[in-house]
Amino acid sequence: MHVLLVEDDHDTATFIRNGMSQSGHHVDLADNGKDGLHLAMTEDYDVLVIDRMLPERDGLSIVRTLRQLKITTPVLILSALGEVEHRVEGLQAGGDDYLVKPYAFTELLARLQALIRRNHPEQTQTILQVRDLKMDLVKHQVTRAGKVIELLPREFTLLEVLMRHAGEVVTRTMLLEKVWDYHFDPQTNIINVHISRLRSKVDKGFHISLLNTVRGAGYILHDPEAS
Amino acid sequence: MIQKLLSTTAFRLSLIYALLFSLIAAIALGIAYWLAAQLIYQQIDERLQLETNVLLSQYYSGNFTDLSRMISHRNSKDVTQFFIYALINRQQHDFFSDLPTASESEQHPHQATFATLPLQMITHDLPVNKQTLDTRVLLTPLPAHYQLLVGTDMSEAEKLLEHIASILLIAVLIIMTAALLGGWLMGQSVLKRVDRIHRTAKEIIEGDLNQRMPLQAREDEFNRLAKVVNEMLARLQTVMMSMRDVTNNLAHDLRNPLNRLHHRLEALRYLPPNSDKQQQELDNAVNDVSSLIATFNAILNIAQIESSVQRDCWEDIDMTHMIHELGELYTLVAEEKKISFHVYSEKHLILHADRQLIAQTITNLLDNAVKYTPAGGKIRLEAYYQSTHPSAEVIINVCDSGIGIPEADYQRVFERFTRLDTVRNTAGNGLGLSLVKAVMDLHQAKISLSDNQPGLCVKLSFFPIEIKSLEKNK
Repeated sequence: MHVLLVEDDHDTATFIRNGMSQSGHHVDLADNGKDGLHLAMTEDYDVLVIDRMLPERDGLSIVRTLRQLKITTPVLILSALGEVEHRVEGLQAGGDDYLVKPYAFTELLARLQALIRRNHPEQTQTILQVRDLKMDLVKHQVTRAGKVIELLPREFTLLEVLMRHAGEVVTRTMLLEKVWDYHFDPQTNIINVHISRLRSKVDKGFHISLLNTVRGAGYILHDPEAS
Repeated sequence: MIQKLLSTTAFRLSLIYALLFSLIAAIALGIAYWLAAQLIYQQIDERLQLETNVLLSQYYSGNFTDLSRMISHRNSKDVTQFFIYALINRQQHDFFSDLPTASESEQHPHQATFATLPLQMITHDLPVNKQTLDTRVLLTPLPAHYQLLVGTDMSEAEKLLEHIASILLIAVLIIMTAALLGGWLMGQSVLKRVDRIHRTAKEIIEGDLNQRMPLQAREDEFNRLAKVVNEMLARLQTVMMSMRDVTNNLAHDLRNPLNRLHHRLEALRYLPPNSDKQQQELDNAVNDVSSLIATFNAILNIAQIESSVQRDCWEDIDMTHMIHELGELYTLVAEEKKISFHVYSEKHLILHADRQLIAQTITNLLDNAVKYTPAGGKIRLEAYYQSTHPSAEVIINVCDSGIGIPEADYQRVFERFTRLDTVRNTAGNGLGLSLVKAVMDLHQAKISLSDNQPGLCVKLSFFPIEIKSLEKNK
């Protein structure tokens, strides 16, 4: 994917660029608001990462300007301001997601992937599939290799989120947000237990496990033999 | 000092009132004086009329000579020293023409007339110092060009009036002085209290936030103002302390993990590249940083909650739903640890609060409960209305059968980074209960700990809601 990063801290920007390159993404850098806005208006990006506090022009005003120009590229706002009202402010300005510093790189990457996915919606899709695991959103039914898997409502939502982000890392925080709508980091590993339970239903008795834990990052649902 | 006193509102107000009051008093006393003078003059005129009547009756019953004799008799006697009697031929001296109110005599030249004349006009046989004195006379025309004059010395009356006037003037002066003195004292006492507040404020500005405005037993405006200021100071102090705590905590409690990370990274330099050992140490370093970030965020989060007053994101939370949702979230964790977990919530339980913070609070308590309860133990999460007629409060209980907290530590566990010795080896940053406390304070709710024998019971009681509005909700 093609990412524009508007961030005035040079080291942070370089780290993110290197990290993204290693994951096979291309990153353009801008270290002030003016250049950032110019690049965002002239180039075609999959996603924009914009710091809130920038020299020349602040992040929120960039987002507002872009939205006024009907440029709908998804935007992730980075900020040191973590209060709820700041988050709301960022989203109201036209941001699609909001990440508070300090954050882990894996969290950033996972959220960016989710944003890009969101920008290419598969609304007509009624069946999600990863290898032999199928989710029928209309019938509300999950099967693996043709065998029906009984899931509780919450487990169904959890699997749906993972399947929608198939092939991408989904962090614990993202899951708590998307499945339970709580915006904080749980202290103990409660999400882990739910994933284990889900995994035991989805992967148990099969050779290939589709739902895996990515150490220090989160979880990924994918076909390990496909890539 | 005088300058300061003059500029106090209290003094200026009392000065204005003193002047106004003195003016009113002066007017009132002036009227009294005028009435008194009227009365005295009226009495004099009546006496003159009486004397004239006596003489006239003598004249009409006797003759002119009798009258003349009687007048000289009266003039010679000391008993009537205030009176002057004269029977004068008008051709010799017509007093009527001397009258200052000429119009009166012209209209009624033959009627008896009162007048005030200088004494020297009537008689020249007087000591010089008395010649300017005024005399009140009653002139009565008699037949054959004669006129009867009865007059009286007014100096006694005037002396009396002067006396009255000076008494009244003294009264006015006393009133004015008293009012001014009262104003001065009032201004002085106001100034004294303002000075005390001023001094206290100065000390606070210099950095002593423990100072409070002095209060008095009397519940007056100053006391009310001082109370409000004190409340404000208390709030400020809490926020300042919270900020100071955050800084201290960051400095002290993040130093250890940072140090550990530093060592780890240094050690990494000497490990063979791409070895398993290096990989493991790298993972550890990343985990160290993650937990640092988590701690950092938790501290900031608590500080934000503590200094927050905003209620924009408060909403009516369906607690029944939330309790079951959180129950479900923790069921698996409990099951895994072989802990029996009971969730109960009264129906239609509504709480007006910040949804995220309340959820985080309950999550923190459940985290602790799961962490400190051994296998085979019990955890209970329950929420209900507790009636405190005529209102009801929302109660949330999280009880476990774990290791509990010694009663002596009940206060301390809410402080940041408190880790009791009994749990020092378990994971955690000692911020969970601090956050709970901060959220409770923000919601003006109470948190109380008790012994579950064995284990710990945490009870959250939220502000009372009127039962009536509850029934409406149902």
